Amino acid sequence: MLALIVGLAALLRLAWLHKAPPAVNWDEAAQGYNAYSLWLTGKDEYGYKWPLSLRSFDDYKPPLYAYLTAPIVGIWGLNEFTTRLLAAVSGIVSVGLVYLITRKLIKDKAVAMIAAGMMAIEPWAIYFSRGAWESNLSLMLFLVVVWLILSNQYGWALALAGLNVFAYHSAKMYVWIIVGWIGVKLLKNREGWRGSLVGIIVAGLLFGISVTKGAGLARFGETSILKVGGAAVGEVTQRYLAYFSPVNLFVRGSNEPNQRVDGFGLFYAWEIIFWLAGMVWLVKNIKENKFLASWVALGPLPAIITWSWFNPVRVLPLWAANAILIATGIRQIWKRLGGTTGKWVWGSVGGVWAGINLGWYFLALLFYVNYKNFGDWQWGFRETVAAIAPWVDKSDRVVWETGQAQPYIFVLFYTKYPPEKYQKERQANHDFGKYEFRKTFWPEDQHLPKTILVGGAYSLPIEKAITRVYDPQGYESARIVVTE
Amino acid sequence: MWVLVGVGLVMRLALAVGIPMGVSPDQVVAFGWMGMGEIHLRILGWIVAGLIIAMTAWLGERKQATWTAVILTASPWLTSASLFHIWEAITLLGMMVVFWGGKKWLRWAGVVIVVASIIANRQAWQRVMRANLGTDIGWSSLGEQVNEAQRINYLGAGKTYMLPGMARKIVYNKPVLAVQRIWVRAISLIDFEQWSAPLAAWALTGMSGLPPKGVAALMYFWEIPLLIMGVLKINREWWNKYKWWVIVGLMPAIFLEKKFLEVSGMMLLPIAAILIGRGIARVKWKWGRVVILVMYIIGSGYMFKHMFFEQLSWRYSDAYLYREISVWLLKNKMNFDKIIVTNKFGPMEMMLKYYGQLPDEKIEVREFDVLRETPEIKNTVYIGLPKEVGGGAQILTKITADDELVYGFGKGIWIGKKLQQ
Repeated sequence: MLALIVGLAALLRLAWLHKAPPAVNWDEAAQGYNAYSLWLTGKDEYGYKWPLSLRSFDDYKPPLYAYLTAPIVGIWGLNEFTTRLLAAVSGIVSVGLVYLITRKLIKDKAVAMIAAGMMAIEPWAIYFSRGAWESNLSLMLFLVVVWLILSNQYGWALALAGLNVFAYHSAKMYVWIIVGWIGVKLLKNREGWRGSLVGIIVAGLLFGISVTKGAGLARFGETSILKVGGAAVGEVTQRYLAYFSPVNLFVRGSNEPNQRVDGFGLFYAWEIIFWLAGMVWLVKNIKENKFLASWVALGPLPAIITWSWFNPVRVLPLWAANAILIATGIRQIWKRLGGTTGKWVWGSVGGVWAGINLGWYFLALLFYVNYKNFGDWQWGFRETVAAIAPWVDKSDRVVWETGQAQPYIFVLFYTKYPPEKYQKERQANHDFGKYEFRKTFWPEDQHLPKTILVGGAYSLPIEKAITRVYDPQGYESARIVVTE
Repeated sequence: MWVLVGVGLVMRLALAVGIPMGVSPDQVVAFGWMGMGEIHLRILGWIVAGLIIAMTAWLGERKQATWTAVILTASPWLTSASLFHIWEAITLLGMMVVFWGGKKWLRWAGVVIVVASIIANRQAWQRVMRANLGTDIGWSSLGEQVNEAQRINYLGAGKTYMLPGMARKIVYNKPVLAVQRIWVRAISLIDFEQWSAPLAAWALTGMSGLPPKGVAALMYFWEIPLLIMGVLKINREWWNKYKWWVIVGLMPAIFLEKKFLEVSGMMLLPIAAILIGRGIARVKWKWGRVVILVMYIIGSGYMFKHMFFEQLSWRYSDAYLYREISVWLLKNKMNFDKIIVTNKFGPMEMMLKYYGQLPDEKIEVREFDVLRETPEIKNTVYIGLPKEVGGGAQILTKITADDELVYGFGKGIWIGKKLQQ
């Protein structure tokens, strides 16, 4: 049964991974290209050797995703699939981990199986497994940490929690919650304290390195609630409650454009009954389930200290805990369904309903996003790179005008530009080699010799266009002119 | 604590009567025919709120009656309802009498109050009812939604793939979609952001169709955990007492658009107060309850300040502008021979009649553009939106406001005379 669930999870995460979402976004392109650069040169795009933080767009990304992706893109080439593969695999492994954790937490095999099943089909779990989201890698590591804690392997758990800070920023907060939990446990029972002490030292060291290398708290500084006028109790509490607001979880989802599929929340709307039942069960049995209760209660912390109201990607471990709660709720309600006939009827109706919901979600993810929300994924660079490819070698210069920020990274990614070359040619504004990223001005640019001009429909004359790129809805997204 | 309730009620009355907030066109339609001015409305709203507080405290659990009164006295929801949705609050009062009136004649009196208040307020209800769940789950609308989903899938697949017919029939069909729509609408009501911070969290609430202004918070943020605690304490006895009230109260909230929850869910207001009271009763630590009381005192102070003294930061400015224009006319119209007032942003004529400025031969209400005007009477003044008045006029005064009522026409009201008259 578990193999079937994991198989379903793999199908939902790997099918058409290169096509849906429709293109790599900025962060994915940066992860992929830096991984490629690390594999070929041992340096990131800026030329920093074996960095412990990726400078990227000066947002200083944790580097673990790029390091683990480096051999994948090195061996199988740099493309959408290989860039996203690590997140997808993390998502599949997480399904198995949720099973193991639930068995230890709830001590009920059926609940563990349901929890794994829920983890396999949850919209948020599928979504964040289908992009190069380093948070999904961090979630997998977090789940391993939880499993190690529940197996009383505190030392290893702490060391891995320390390593996790190199996977995603939120882990920098979670690591201290884990240290605190284990510390309290050790105060009560000192067995195995030596290993734990080593683990705490390792975690502390890794945390220290991560925050001191390459402005590792830059992201926190940019988004922290402390920066915006003090952490007022009301502001923090309201943000905290947002992570339990049913409409956010089951209907609305995130307002971040590339973290959502229109019409869907993080969980399916039908799950709310089971989530509520799971919550009630947890409240009633809180003494026996302190770990799960703490997991749920402390889960939103990494997100609420940031300014945005509801940012699901920052708290993926919280959603995994909710999947376990939902599984518990399903079990609780199942027990009360009465006789075999009742169970069969309700089980069948529920199964069909869940299947239809999964169908809606997966089809929306594959097709709706590609057609309606392609803009949220910075669509068009792959197509434009392919369109200009026949002329690039014959030209001296490529002038690229785009409304998108950080266009250089997409060109590096889709042209598989040699990192060594880029590191040498890179200019302050990220122009490199033949490529310039700026506004085009036709009255002047038309006199540039042997130049490829990439621009929009309003910046270049249609009669001079050698080719045009159309978006999925059929509108012109790029116009290409080549001067002689 | 009853002293605090009394102080709160006196404060509410003083603010409602002392701080003018303007009257909305809906209220003018609903109350204008009775000749009620703004102060009358505020006093009526205060009396209705007082009765709701008293009835809820009396009908709810006796042990928590004081807390229920404190909660409702400080309630942003009830405050807003008593200021801007008086007929709806009267309907709520009538419903309470219908459900818990005890004696038969009293219940019939409640029915009369409910019917009369709905009829009197029919224009506002018609507006609220215009977009409802019924239109969303109508058979033809469902058909369109089913077709649209499949069309987008086909286009999203680059017109290369379509699910087999049977699979499409199972996944996309009208009955299933209708159930989903109703279900989702019901869940949408449990929206902590809309309840406690509809404007601060507009990045989220806007996704549910809430406007960036004009929506009042329904409760304080600390009331949400207390409400949850109260819900967890619901037992069979409680449910038997209140189930029909809850079910009937939920219907309009689910059926009508989410942005109207303040009025469509008004029957849930006393229930929420009773449940929050139950939640507070679960706080066994005495000082915990003291902290909660202090939060109510500070929170309601802040709420009153925000609601009355910073009106334009959370309300659309139309009601305020109608009032300010009328005040200006009252003070200045004798200095001009002709006054032209815009009706670009709403029913100005009705509002000026309400404020006693019309009928008046001097005053004409219509849209205009000062640049294209050729005044027949020399001493003519124009009162309009900045784009209507600006450019071609000598500005005499400006009534400032935070929002643009008509896109591209500027904020507030400008009053001016055409240049070179």
